[in-house]
Amino acid sequence: MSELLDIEALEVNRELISIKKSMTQEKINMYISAAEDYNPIHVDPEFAKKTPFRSTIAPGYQFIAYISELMTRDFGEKWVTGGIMDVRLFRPVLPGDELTAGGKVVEKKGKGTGNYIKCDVWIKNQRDENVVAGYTEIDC
Amino acid sequence: MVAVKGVRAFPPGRLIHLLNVCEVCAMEAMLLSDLKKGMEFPEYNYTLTENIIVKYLKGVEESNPLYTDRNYAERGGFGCLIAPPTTIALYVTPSRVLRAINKKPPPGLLQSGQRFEFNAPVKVNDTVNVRAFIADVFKKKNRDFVVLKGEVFDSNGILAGSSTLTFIWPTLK
Repeated sequence: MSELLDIEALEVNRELISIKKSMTQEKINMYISAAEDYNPIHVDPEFAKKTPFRSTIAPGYQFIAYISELMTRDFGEKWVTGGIMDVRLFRPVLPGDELTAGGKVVEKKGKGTGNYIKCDVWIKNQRDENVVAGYTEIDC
Repeated sequence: MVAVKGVRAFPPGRLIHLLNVCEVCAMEAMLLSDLKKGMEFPEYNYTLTENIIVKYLKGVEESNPLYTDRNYAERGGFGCLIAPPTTIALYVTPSRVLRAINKKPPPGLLQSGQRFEFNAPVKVNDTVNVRAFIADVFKKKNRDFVVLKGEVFDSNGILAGSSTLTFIWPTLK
């Protein structure tokens, strides 16, 4: 496991180390198996062929979790007890897509005895298109 | 492969899931016209079992030791393994909320926005209570949007987090 970020030393414009993921139908099925949320657009190729995407797509919940993974890696338990994630989803994620989740510190200020940190966050696909973009906030 | 309408890509051998699918298939799809801003849904409980969390972790490829390494987790501030905070997305969904009124979402529902607020950890095998309501219904660029908010309380009644989901309601043809 990588070390948590040193909050005191953290500066605005610091890029968070990105993480890469490959989406597959197997991972979608596994996620759906946990969620028991059987929207056919995620699991039924015949149904999905008739949609504008012409393919199954991953649940948004599944890949926005990559941003939380990044935040947990860098901020640990503080993320779990004081994190906010607010994102928009711009494009579908299809099986076979290669995703990169990243972020950058855009604001840091003292709050009480700790700090408030805001990050811009995003997920891009293999064509460098924004799939997800938004921000996170954390009291730490 | 077991042929069940709507889950053809799903692997066989998961009877419990297929039973749940059949239950859902029998429900009527919710109509947009029946959703109103402020509409509250019946509360429901959800248990985050270790089995569900393991599947979730595989689905999102997460391996942080807070969720996976018992020894590491026991030395940390929470004192035990916890569920990833984004597992809130497993049980605050249109499907689960509508199931509480014996309805299901229409096929083709698309998520367009998501806000999570995390306040406290949910421990493995904890049963949470979900209180959900429609925060907004609006039209934009000829599309219908619905905002669903769910607040999650842990077994001690502490607000663990909330999920505000914006989704595009499909146009029926």
